[in-house]
Amino acid sequence: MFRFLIKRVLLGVSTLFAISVTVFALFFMGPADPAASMCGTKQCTPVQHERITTFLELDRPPHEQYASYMRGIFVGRTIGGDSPDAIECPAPCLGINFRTYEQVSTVIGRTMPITFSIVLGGAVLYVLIGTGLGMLSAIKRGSIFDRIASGTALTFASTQIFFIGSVLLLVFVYQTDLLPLPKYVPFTESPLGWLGGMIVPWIALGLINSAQYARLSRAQMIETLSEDFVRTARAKGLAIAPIYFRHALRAAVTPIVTIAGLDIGGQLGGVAITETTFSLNGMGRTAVRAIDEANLPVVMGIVLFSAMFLVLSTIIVDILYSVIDPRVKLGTSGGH
Amino acid sequence: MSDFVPRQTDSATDVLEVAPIEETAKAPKAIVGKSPGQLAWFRLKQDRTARSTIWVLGFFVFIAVFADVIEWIYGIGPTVNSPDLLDTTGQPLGYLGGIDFTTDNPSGHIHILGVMPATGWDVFMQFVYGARTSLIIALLATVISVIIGIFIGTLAGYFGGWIDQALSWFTDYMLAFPFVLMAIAVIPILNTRLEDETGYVTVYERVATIIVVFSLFGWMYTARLVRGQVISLREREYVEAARAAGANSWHIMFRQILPNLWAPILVTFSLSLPATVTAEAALSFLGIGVQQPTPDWGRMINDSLLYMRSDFMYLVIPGVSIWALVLSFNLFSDALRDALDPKSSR
Repeated sequence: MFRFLIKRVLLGVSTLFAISVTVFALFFMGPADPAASMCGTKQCTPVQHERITTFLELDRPPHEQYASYMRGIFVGRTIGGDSPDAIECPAPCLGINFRTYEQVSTVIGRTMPITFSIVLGGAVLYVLIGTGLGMLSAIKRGSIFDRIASGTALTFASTQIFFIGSVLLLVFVYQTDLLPLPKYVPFTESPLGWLGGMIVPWIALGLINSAQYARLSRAQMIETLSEDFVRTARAKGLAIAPIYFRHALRAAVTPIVTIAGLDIGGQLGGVAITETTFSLNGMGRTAVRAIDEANLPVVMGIVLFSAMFLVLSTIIVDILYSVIDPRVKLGTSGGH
Repeated sequence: MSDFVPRQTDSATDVLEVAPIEETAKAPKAIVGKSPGQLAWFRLKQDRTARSTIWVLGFFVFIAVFADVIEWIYGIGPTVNSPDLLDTTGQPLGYLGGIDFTTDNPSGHIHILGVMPATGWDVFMQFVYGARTSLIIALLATVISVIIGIFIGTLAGYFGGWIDQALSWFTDYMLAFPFVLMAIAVIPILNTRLEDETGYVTVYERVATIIVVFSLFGWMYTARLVRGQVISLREREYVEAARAAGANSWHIMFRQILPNLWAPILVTFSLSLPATVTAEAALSFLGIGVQQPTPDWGRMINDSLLYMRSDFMYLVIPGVSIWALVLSFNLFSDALRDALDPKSSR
C-alpha cells in the first residue's frame, strides 16, 4: 500500500512537472506580447513598454523565467527585482496577474470557491439522482418507469450545457422569475443566497450528467441482483430493502465512485463552458479570459491547479477502490 | 449462403446430382454459419432504435454532403444580407424569428426557419451548412484520434516493459491537461503559424487546426482500451503460432491481434463521435472554433444569447440540431454495442 502510494505520487508529480513545462513552452511559441497588451495600444510609449518588460522579467530567456517561476512556488520570490515598487510574493508564489498586478494565488483563492460550489453541488445532485433512478429502474426492470427513466436520461445527456443552461435561464429566470439569477454569494455570508444563486447551474449539470450514473448503477444492480448471494439473502427471508441497500447497492458503488471521482476531479479545475453560460467568474472562465490577454501566470496557475486535481483524483479513486472492495490489491495489478 | 449450395465440380458426380438438390430443397432450416460481423449486422437490422437513428443520421449526412445542391434548390445562400427583413432594432419581422413559407417578402425567398437578427441571413441555410462544418470536423477528428489511439495502445500492450511504461505515462500526462483550456491556448498559436502576411487564415486551415487539436487530445481513451485488450490477447495460441512461424512483431500486432479488436474499437469510435460534435460546438460557443462567415451551430447559439429574450427560435434551432445529432449518435452507438456484444442486455 505504502509503496504503491509513493509510486503513484511520484508519477503524478512527474506529470505535473511535464505539464508546467509544456504550458510555459506553449506561451513562448505563441504570438502574444504580454507587455504590449498590458500597456495598451494607444498611449504605449517605448519607454513604458521597456519598463513593463523588465519589471516582469519578460526579457529573460524562457528557461530562466521558468526556473524563477518554479523557485517561486517553493520558496517565494520578489517580482520586479530592484525596482522601487517591487512586489513581494510569498512561498506558494504562482506569479502575478500581468494585468492587475494581483497575485495569482489571490486570483485562484477568489475564483476557486465559485468553481467548487458549482461542481460539488452539481455532483451531489447528479450522483444522487442518477444512482437513485438507476436503482429504481433495475428493481422495476422492463416496466414503464424503467423505459421512461432511461429515455429521459439519455435525452438530457445528449444536450449541451450551453444550450440547456440558456433555455433554463430564459424560461425560469428571465421570463417567469421562478428561479433566481445565477450569481455567487459566499456561503458564510448568506447560506440561502448561496443556494439560490447556484440552483440553476446545479439543475443544468444534474440534467446533463445524471444519465451515465443512472445507466451504470442500473446495469450494476441488475448484475448483482442476479447473483447467488442475493438469492441466498432472499431465501433466508430477509426484507427486500436491506437486500437492495446493503447487498446490491454496495456492489454497484465501486464503479460509480470511480466515475464520480474522475468526473469531479476533472471539473474542479474549472468548468469553463458552464461558467461562461451562467456568467460566473470561476476558475475556468477566468483562465479563458487570461488566455485572450496572454496572461501567462494566471493560465499557468489555473492549468497546474486543475491538472493537480485530476492527478489527485485518480490516486484517491485507486485508494477508495481498495477500501470499498477488499478484493482489489493495490500495486499488483499494474497500476491501472 | 451460396457457399452452402453444393456445387458441381466435376462431371463424375453427375450421377449423384439428385441427392444434393433434394437436400437443399428440404432443409431450409439448416444451420447457416455466420461470421461475427454478419451476426452483428443482423442484430443491428433487427433493432428498431438502430433503424430509426440511421434515418436521422442519414438525413444529417445528406444535407451536409448536398448542401450546395440544397442551396441551389432553395434559392438563397447562408450569408445573404437581407436588412429589409428586420425591424429598426435588427429583430426579424414576423413571427418566430421571421419564419416565412412564401416568397412574399422583401428578400423574395422563403425562410422556413426564419432569419438571423442583425444580418437577416437565412437560418435554414446556416443550419444546412452548419451540419457540414460539424460533421466534417467530428468525423475526421474522431478517425484520426482513433487511429493514433490504436497505434499507441497496440505498441504499449504488445511490447510491455519500458515501452508500455513510457507510453502509459504519456497517456496519463495527456489526460491530465484541461482540454478546453489547452484547446483555447493551442488553436490561436497554430493559426498564427498558418496565417499569411496580412494575418489571414483560410477556412480550410482553421478547420484543419481544430481537427489537429481534437486528434491530439482525443486519442487517450482508445489507447487505454486497446492496450488492455492487446495485453489479454498477446499470449493466445494463435499469436504464439504466428511467432513460431516467423512472423515479425508488426505482422502479429496489426495482422493477427488487431482484427480481433474491431468490435470494441467500433464502439469507442461511435461513442467518441457525438462527444466530438459536442466539444466542437462548445469551442465555437466560446468563440474559438470556426469563424464567420463559416456557418457553425455552436457559434449560432453564442450569437443567439444576445437576442434570446426577443427571438428564442434563433437559440432553439441550433440547440435542437446539435441535440438531435448527438442523441441519434448516442442511440446508434448503444444499438451497435448491443449488436456487437451478445452478452449485453439493456
